[in-house]
Amino acid sequence: MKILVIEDEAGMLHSITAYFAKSGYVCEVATTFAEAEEKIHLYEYDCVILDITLPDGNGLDILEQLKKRKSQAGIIILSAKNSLDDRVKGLTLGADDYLPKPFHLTELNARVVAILRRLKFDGSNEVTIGNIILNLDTKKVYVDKEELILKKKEYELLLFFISNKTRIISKTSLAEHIWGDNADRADSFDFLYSQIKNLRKRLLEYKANYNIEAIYGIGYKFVNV
Amino acid sequence: MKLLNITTKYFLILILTMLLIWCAVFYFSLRWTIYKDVDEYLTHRQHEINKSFSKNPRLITDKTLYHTDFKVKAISEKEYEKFLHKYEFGKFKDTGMHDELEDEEEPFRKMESVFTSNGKYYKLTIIASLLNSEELLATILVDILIFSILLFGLVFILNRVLLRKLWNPFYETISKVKQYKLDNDSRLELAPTNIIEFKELNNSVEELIQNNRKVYMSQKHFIENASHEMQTPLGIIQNKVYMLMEEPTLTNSQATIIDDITEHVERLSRLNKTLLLLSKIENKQFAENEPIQITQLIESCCEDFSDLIEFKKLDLKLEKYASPVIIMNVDLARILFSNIIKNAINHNINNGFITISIEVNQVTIANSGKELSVNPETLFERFNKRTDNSHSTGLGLAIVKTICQLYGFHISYSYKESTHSLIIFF
Repeated sequence: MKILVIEDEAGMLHSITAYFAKSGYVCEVATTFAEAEEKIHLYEYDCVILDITLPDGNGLDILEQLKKRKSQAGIIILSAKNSLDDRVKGLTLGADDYLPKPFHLTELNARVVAILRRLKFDGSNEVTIGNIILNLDTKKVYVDKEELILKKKEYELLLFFISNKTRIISKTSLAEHIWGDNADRADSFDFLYSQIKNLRKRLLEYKANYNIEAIYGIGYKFVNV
Repeated sequence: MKLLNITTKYFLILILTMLLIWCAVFYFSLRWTIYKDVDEYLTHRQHEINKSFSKNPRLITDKTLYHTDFKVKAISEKEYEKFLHKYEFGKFKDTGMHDELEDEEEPFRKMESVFTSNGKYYKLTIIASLLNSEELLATILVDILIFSILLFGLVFILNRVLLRKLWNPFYETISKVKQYKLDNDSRLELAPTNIIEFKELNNSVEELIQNNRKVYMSQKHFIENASHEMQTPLGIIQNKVYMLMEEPTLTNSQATIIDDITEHVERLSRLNKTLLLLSKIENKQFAENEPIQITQLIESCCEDFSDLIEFKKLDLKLEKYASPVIIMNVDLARILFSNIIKNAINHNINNGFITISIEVNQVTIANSGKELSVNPETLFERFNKRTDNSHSTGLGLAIVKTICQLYGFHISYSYKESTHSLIIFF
């Protein structure tokens, strides 16, 4: 998998590439509009992560060029503005997703995984990990062909865990993913703990060969057991 | 008191006194002139009569002359001396005489003087009618009064009409300034005028407001800009901390510190997002309005929180008495109700209840919970935290209030019998 990260902030760029490199992706970077323009004309990418505020141009123009070239790459827009206009404009121009800054790397990863999954869509819209199968259309979960009935939030949690398998997932990024803008709550963590505890018990019960592992003080990891 | 009335009042008082004084002065000066004239005539007549007497002394006792305008009376030397000593140029006096023809008293001027003839002393009394002069005086006075009253009325009307017309631009400016709101998008435009003073006033007012608007706008945008600028560094910190988490050699105590950092960065970034949202609402960046089915929206918000409501074992009741449709922005509507419902869950007790009643013009959200530790009046203010909960930004209800203000909804809060009630009136 080849990813192009177009981002002018060095700190941000470094974190993103380091994260994806660790997951085994090939990461290329562009820090200016001109550089980005050159790269998208020369190479093909599976996914483009695009910051729309660049020092020498608007990222939305890159998006337009990609679409004009009929690029197959999935496109995620990053924006510090979190403005509705940008979001609507980006999505109408053909971006696949929009992520306002600041964001969790795990969240970005989950979005990239989802986009790549959609691009490599091969008829059955399913995610398989070990003996667990998630049907993304029906939102049903099977372990060894046996259906595992989960609540809405539990299903969302499981999908997030699968997308970020074998990587550390911080508690806050989990809460943010599940609650979005409503994560500012005292009991969102209590709730989360109880959901995770429950999900873990269910996966154990159904003898799934992947499960949630708690990492002291930090968060969780979805690992092969 | 209006300026118009004050000026009219002073103007009228001034004109009235001036007219009165003028009338009096005119009357007395005219009178004085007439008297001077009559007295001159009388003196002249006296000389004439004295001259005739000295030419023909017999005339003094001629009775036929008595019917004319004078009479002569013999007096003693002592009286003569005394009179002459007192009135050297004769004694003038107003007197009335009965006119038989018209049967009324008529005004006369009388002059008394003394003279000697052949060693005898006489007193000469001459009279002159004042009738014509008095009539003249009266006529003139009446004319003056009529004229004065007319002038007075004219000045009064002119003053009102003219002043009102003159001050019109001023009143227009005032009414425009009164209606003007700083957070409006439009500039203040005042009607043009030819009067230099008002032109200057309008220019100054426009300039002042324009400057204030600039300051107001830049302050409004400051929070938004500051929040924007903070997004990227916050994101970098968040991601760097994450990379630290993935270090394989992390000890437990280091992990605890990292967890602490994450939590606070998270809080900061949430705070930042909320402030950004608040400024966006205030800056009217959610412009597109559409009809919103309130009941459907509330149901969908409750659905979002259903897992949490279940987790807290809350009893949620939805009482639908009406199905109001409100014209507003769809995102803001969702933010509004999800904030209120979130609040009702957050500040609830385990096994508590939430009752939402939807009526034609209002939505009431009642929930069980402990009494507030803060003043209910400051409940909707920014950063007014009800709990020591570090996950709460203290901005949830401020958002609710800002959205309500934007659409002119009224919001009220009360606490009775362990129940918090929040009512939104559309």
